[in-house]
Amino acid sequence: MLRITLNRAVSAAILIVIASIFSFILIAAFPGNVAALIAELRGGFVSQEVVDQVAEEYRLNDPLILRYFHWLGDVVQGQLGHSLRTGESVAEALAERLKPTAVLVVGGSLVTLIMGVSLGFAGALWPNGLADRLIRVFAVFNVSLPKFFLAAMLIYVFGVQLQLLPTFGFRGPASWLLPCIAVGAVPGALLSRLIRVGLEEAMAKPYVITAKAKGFARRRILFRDALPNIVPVFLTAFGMNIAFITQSALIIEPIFSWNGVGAYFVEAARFRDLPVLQSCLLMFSVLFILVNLAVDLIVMMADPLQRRAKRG
Amino acid sequence: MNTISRRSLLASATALAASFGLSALPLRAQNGATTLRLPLTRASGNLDPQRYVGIFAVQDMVFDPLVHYGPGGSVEPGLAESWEVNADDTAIIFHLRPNVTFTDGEPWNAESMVWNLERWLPKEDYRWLQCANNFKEIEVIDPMTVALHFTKPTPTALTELSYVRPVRFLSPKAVTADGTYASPVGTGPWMVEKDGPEGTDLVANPGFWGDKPAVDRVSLIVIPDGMSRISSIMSGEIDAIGGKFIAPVSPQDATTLKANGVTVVTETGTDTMILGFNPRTDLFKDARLREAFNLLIDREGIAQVVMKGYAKATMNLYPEVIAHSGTRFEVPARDVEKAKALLEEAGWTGDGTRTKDGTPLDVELVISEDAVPGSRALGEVLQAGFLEAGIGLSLRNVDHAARHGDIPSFKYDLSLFVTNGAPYDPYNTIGLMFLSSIEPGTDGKIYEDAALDPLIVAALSAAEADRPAAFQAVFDWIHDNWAIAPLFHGDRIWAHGERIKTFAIPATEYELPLKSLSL
Repeated sequence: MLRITLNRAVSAAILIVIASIFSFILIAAFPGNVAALIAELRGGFVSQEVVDQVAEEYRLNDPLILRYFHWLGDVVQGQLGHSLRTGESVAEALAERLKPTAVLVVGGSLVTLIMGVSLGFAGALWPNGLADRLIRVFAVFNVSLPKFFLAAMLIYVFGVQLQLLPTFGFRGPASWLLPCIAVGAVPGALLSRLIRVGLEEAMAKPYVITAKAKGFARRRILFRDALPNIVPVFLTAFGMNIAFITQSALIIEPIFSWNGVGAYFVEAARFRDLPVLQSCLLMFSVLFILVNLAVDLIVMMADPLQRRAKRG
Repeated sequence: MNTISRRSLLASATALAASFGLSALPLRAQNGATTLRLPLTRASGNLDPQRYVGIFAVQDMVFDPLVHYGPGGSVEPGLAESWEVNADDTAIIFHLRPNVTFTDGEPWNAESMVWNLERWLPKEDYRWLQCANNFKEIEVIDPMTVALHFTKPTPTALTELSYVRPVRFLSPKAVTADGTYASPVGTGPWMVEKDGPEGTDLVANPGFWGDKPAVDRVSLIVIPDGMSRISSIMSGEIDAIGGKFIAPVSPQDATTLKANGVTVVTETGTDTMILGFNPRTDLFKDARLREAFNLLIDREGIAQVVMKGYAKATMNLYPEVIAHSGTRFEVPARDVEKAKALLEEAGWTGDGTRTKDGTPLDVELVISEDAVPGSRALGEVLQAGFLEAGIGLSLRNVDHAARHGDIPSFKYDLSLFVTNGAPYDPYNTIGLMFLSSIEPGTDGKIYEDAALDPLIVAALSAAEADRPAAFQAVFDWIHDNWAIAPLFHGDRIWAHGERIKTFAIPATEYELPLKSLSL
């Protein structure tokens, strides 16, 4: 188990380095003159001479590879640099903005979990009944909705029309509800289908037929026999959904005016604020890789078959 | 094993839902009688009046100028109670307002004025202002009288001293030992109470020298998403929305808000949307081509359809609300046949896309929703209009950073420009975006021609009595040579909720409507 964990950790570290190289190249290769934008913030009229000075100062004319290693050297020493736009420390700004994003990811994951398990299980409990069909329609409808549209609809209904919940801001639990539903509903709908299909497949397995022959009720078989057998698939899908929810923060945070990491990233992208973009991307990559690593390890612990297969 | 009964589950769920609902109730109750809630597109940022980072409107609330910009370009007293300009516009004597203090208790006098001016006036970075470019010296006549001397006539100086930055006054004690800005302390009507990424809270300055604001507090809330700003005013969570550089309302937004019963207030804009021809390509050196492009534009259609009626079609560089904006030119009706004839005359012939010496008449329009909101829709309308006369127009969509690279280096055929508007015009746009002797800044050149330069220089340095004629000469040259294709003056749009009883749009897009507002 320890050997497998170590192997996975090494792979994760390599993945993080590869992700950082790709993100650095992609961002730095965007067209446009960042030096002109920085110069504009410093003083009124920006001459070419001033732009050139700024480019020199921020080493924007250095070859990409040099700039990458310069950045990597700083990151290894724990320095994420300073924002080109505001001059603030990126590490401090990220720490300040971590709480809303954490609330969004945890809250969105809870919505996904509650929705996925309850709807998936309800569908499997009464297969092809009215509830199952309604849940299927609801799931397909939900999966087809773009996140920003769902967010807009939630704001319109619960904020503007019913005036029950705030339409913007990170202002306590009431203000968390709509953003968490907006990020968690789509993966929740996907998860519900996965659980429903997984349970249906499990219900056709020989051990279920044996249980049925013994006269056990469908509900008991679903809970005690079928459900534990779909746990590995469920955990893998749930892990991927956490990554999906984190990525959704980019769209949902600006819509609900949450000053989280997602909104910070979008703001930085508009300005080509390389240190901020790089740090956010690095954070997202690390989170994605760590969640996958954790899911892999949990699945291995939960599923003896996989553990044996990995050992070869 | 503990079990949860169906009844207790339902009871818990109801209690949870009720707690969320109840915690939402203060939303409506928070609307304290004298707290005004307004949105910002981004955080206020570093409010140092000599830097270009902070939100203009917040800097305007905290820091006073020597003189204020009034409607139509009038200059009104601020921290200077009165002033005298000498006969040749080379000196201004300011009589400072007595008994004014910064909110940290520092007195406003010649000493604090000079300390502030020395932070920017003699420096290279601020030469885009004529008063800085022509700066000679500051003379302290007595503790409450200061004269500014210029090397040459600078009739623009008074207007420039009404700008938000870098000209506003900071307390000399609001800096660190090395002179770096430390905190937002001014003499203005408002004081910053709390500032962060979520927004800025300001309270009325009890010692303000002018009229007291009608509200006690202003809460500026960062709402970056346009749709969310619209929702929040419709739900009553904010009180007003508007201002191009504060929380812009597009014509589409205005239509939506109006349909939902929100009060929409408009006024003719102080800027102009212009289609600019790249003056450094051979293609647009031919005036016949520029005229043909001008005649293919349906300005009234654009004002009514693209701008939903929130714009006025124009052929002028500046709207009438700008000082010395000149006589109004007639807006030509769209004339495809005349445009075709002009193109033929210029040698562009053939069916489909016209050609000349084997080169097709394909041009590129740079659009940027970041820099010029609404430019995509506008580009598509222009595209259809030009196609009818055999001109191929492709749209290249770029973001703010890419536009900042391409436009100053003239990497475009056609581009959309917006004039600077109040309080910067009539001086800034012709000075920085037309004068060929000044290298292009990040906004580029709308047009340039060596023959136009002397007219612009004359207008910028003309004495008050000669100024209208001097500016008119510039406008006539631009118009007669079809140098640009002005499109429209977009309306200034604000919307407000029911809590606001009186409201008037301020003189510029850089300030909040706080002077006229009451709850």
